[in-house]
Amino acid sequence: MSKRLTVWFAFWIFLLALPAWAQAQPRGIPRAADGKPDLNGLWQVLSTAAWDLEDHNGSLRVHAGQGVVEGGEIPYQASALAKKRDNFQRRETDDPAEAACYMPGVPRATYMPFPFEIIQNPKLITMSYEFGHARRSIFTDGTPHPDGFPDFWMGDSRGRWEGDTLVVDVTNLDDRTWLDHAGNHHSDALHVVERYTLTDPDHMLYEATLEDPKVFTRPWKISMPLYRRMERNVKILEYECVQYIQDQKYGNAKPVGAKP
Amino acid sequence: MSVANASPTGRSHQIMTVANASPTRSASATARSLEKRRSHQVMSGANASPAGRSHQIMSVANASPTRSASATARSLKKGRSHQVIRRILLHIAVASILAGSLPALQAQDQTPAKWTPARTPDGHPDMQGMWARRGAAMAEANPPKTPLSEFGSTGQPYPTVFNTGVSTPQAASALANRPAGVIEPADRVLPWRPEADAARREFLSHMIPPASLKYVEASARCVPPGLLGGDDRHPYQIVQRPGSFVLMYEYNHVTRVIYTDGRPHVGPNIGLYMGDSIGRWEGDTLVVDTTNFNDKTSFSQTIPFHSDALHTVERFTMVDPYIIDYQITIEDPKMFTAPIRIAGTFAAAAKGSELMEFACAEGSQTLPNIFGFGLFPGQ
Repeated sequence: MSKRLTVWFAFWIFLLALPAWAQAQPRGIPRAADGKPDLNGLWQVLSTAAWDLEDHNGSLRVHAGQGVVEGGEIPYQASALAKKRDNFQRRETDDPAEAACYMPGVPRATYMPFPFEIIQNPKLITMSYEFGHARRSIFTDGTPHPDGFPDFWMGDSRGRWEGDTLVVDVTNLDDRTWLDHAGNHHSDALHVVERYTLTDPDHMLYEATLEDPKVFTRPWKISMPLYRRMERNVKILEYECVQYIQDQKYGNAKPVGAKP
Repeated sequence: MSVANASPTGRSHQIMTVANASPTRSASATARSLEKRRSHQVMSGANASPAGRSHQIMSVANASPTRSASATARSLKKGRSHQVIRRILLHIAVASILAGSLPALQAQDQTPAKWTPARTPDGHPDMQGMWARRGAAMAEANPPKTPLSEFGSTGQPYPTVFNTGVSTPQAASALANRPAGVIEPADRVLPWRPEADAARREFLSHMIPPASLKYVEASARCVPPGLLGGDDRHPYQIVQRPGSFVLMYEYNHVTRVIYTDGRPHVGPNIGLYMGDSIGRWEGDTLVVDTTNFNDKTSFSQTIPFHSDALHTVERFTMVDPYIIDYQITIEDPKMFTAPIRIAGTFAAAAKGSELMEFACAEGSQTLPNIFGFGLFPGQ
């Protein structure tokens, strides 16, 4: 066999083997121009965390669910646990997100049962949530949390990449948001560290560590997968619960001092 | 506030002004956050704040990862013969570029050099950054008189600390000569259908004090503002990705993701406060077609609603680094007999400005004051 023929033979073997080789590799994750994982797109959880982060049974309009808290239970200080139980009793009327459609805060915005869109640029990652059209800016330009900012419903977020994981540090969180519909709560000392890791092109692992020395005895962690919404032409629509709740509460009410 | 302060409605609007603008604390806390915000703004103006500095420059855009990946794959597959073809194509491309620039070169002989915008990796004008919108309003000739215009929610300027959207000196001087408001019809007398004009005059007469929830001013209900209802004392931010153009409002934290990937509008039975926007590039102009509006936002203080037949076409064209020419054509066949054209400007925002959180429903006391009870028990 001539040398030339051998080279051709090897070349064709290589070509034919290529698809099998490619299949054996794990599917790569999409990457942005700057080489970072490309998180752009619509994402949503498939979990019952929005109702209750801990194990819970089904009840009217609430799906049963296994908890997402590492270790099972949220490590409350005694007085804070009493407040949680009180919140739970009054959840239908007092949950700020459900009863008034206030912005859900972080991390709850992530696991509300609604999609959110990630808009990624090298220095700014925006998350736009369908629930109440809430939005947050995650600055990935190396800036720290500014001094002297007030609290925000969605907090102040600064992000950085640790390898292929987006790590977001969140402070300045308003103490009036709840962590779920079961009345789990926090103070204005809440500090959240979120981690977003693409595990393949259409799945992301979401992890959040919550630290609040006024409410919990130690930092604790939740985790759950995020799923890419893959329907053709899917986009964020509107869930304007502020308007729906106003219609329900005031639609038949008479203004004070209105003409009879 | 020239309407009697004793009226509950009057009071509520006054409170609304404060609540609207800040992350919803009590009055004293609001004042505190005003202070903080002011100091932040001052700092960033002087470039002392790293955070403030960071946000105005978003010009580094995403290159298309799919494009470069597929190009690599292609060059792997193709043999030497393709290189020849590529070379020929290159020559054709260079030739056509040269040919295309000939008229421009000739034009340069007579006029000063034409400014060309920086471009995103996918080749479109790079409009990314912070902007102040000016002039885009349905300002009609001889509007009906309404006591609404005397209220704080729209008639009174915010404290200057909220003007993070203030334009740069360059943009400010250019603004003086820019078209603004209704440009068609030229006399600004809107082509009303008589029954629609009568309906809005009737509607206005029930708004102060509001006869019911239906007559409460949309902005006082924290309704997403629609395309013309935004409060332009708040800045806007533009972010571009391959396949979409994102316009973010500070006002009521609205985000418009305008896809330019050729997808169609959503189905006809979906009605949205902000409508469904799809975009396309016509040369260097972004053309945005919006349908699927509901009838729950307002055009202006004196035009408190539109119909669900509303269709708009917006055009964004960068004129220079400080000015985006903005035009919007309004078609609402249930309200008007002809299209209305409005001109406005996105002017580059002051250095260091950034979007802050605008919490409306969370802080507004307007509805509890009007109706005498709040959303939570015991309020």
